[in-house]
Amino acid sequence: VLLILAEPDDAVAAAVGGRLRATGRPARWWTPLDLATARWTHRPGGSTVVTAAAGRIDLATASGVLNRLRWLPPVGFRAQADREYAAMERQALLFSVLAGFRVPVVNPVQPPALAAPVLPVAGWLALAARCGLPVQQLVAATDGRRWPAPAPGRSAAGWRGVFEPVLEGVGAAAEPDWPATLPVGRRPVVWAEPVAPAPGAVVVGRQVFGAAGPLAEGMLALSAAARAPVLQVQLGLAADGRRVVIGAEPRPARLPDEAVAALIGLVQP
Amino acid sequence: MTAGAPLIVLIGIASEPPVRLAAQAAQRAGLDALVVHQRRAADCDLRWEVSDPRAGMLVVDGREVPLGAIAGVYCRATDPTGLPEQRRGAPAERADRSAAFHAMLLEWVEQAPCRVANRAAAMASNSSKPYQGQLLAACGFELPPTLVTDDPEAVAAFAREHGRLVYKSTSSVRSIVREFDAAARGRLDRLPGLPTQFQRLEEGDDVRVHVIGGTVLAARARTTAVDYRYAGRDGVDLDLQPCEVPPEVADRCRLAARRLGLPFCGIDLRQRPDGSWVCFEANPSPGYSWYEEAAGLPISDALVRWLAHG
Repeated sequence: VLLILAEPDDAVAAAVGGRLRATGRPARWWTPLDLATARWTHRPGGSTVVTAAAGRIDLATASGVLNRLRWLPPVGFRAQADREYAAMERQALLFSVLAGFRVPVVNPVQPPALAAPVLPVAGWLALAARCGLPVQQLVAATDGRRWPAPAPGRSAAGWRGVFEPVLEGVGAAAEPDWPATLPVGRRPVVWAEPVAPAPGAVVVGRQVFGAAGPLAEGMLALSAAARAPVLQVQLGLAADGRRVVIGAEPRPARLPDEAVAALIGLVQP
Repeated sequence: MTAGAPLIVLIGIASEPPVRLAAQAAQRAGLDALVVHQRRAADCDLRWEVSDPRAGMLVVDGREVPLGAIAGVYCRATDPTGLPEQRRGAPAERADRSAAFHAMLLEWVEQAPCRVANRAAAMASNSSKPYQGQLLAACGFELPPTLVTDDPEAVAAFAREHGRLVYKSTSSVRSIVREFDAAARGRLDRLPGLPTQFQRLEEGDDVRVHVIGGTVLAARARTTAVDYRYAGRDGVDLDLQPCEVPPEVADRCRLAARRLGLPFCGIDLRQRPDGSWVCFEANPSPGYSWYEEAAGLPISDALVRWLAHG
């Protein structure tokens, strides 16, 4: 049985589950809430038995795991501090459970994230550049007066959007209201190369959908470096016509049909 | 400082013993050490090009340092959101500068092409003891029989199987080892909803092995306390002495440090009375000062030497 770990409204998980059902292959869907409210008996390197509202399962029976988890919700316990502590303990347990599977887990666990890394834009772009991909040029500076725009046309972006991981449901903290008369001044800034929207691409295993040639090769390298077999690579169009990486997402909200088929091949080889 | 000496950067609270000892060791070694004191982050500056972490500048106390000139970084950063400068009520602009400097610097540390002890991505393995335990087992270490559960009946069965047990948190939070004694048994009804790690109690001496690059420095703790780090608090005697570990154990520690991506770590071992070894965990940000001062291990010397020269 394929184990699907995803939010109830996860379109990619639904597409995978739907295709499997259509071909008579079993799948079992557990939501983060199911996992958070389950009872666990886990021997690292050995067996794991989970009992939840959705039923009881010995994880040794799983033939593959589609892992789309971001986090587990804090549940139980009256005091908030205890609830958050228990959530952290459950997450730590799940890191071990997911690492213990001897069948494909896509995307694999990567603490502190449950599935593939959670990186800020700066982290993805630095990694992409190391993999030989063209990336949007960003210059981060804690003082925009000391270090003004490095090239004409660079726009001043807020630093939080570039340096804080993008977490679903968690908004970035607001930046303070800097005096309008000091548009940049002695304040943190990210000088960003202007890019126009461009269609992105998706890596699934060794296949790339939406890019070819050296760009696709670079994306495969990025997927390997990030240990994210499923990776959506977001692209922008630079002024000189180059397609450049502007970000990446290991949990794409949607996948084209052929990518869903490739994903099934990855988790149920 | 020797002319032309390699430049190393130490990030943390300047007065905290591990940072202070590293700074003193750098001075002894004639190295050029730049201390980034987190409490003064709002007065520091940084510029870096995200596509090339060599291209940029770090400014501390008015001194400008090209990022490409940095040979090594010791990152002992405390969570910046807990600093007074960033707490609610702090002046907003300085708080934002402090937060921005930390975010930019710590991300640069993740990407820096120089030696780093340690990068946050690698340190995260310690956020789950059983997860890290599986990685350590793959390096050839024996770990105690372990159960992670929130099911009281499973604990009772595990205790019947293994006799005396200890328990501790599954994550790295609130992590103190306690014996699973009668009092703990009496609290088992609180376990549902809180997965906890139970392990067979292993008899023997605790041995903390610090790996610094290829250097291995060990200390042996003799005590009757279940968690020797808290022996004093529990009113139990503790004797901490430098020691040698067998070459095969030292090699296994080096292998674990390499595979975990932690060039500087503290590996907790116990040597059983029959001479065999069991491993508990690898600490990715060892508070090594106690071992250096109580057991005389030259950890800070080894650390700055590795940062500067590899």
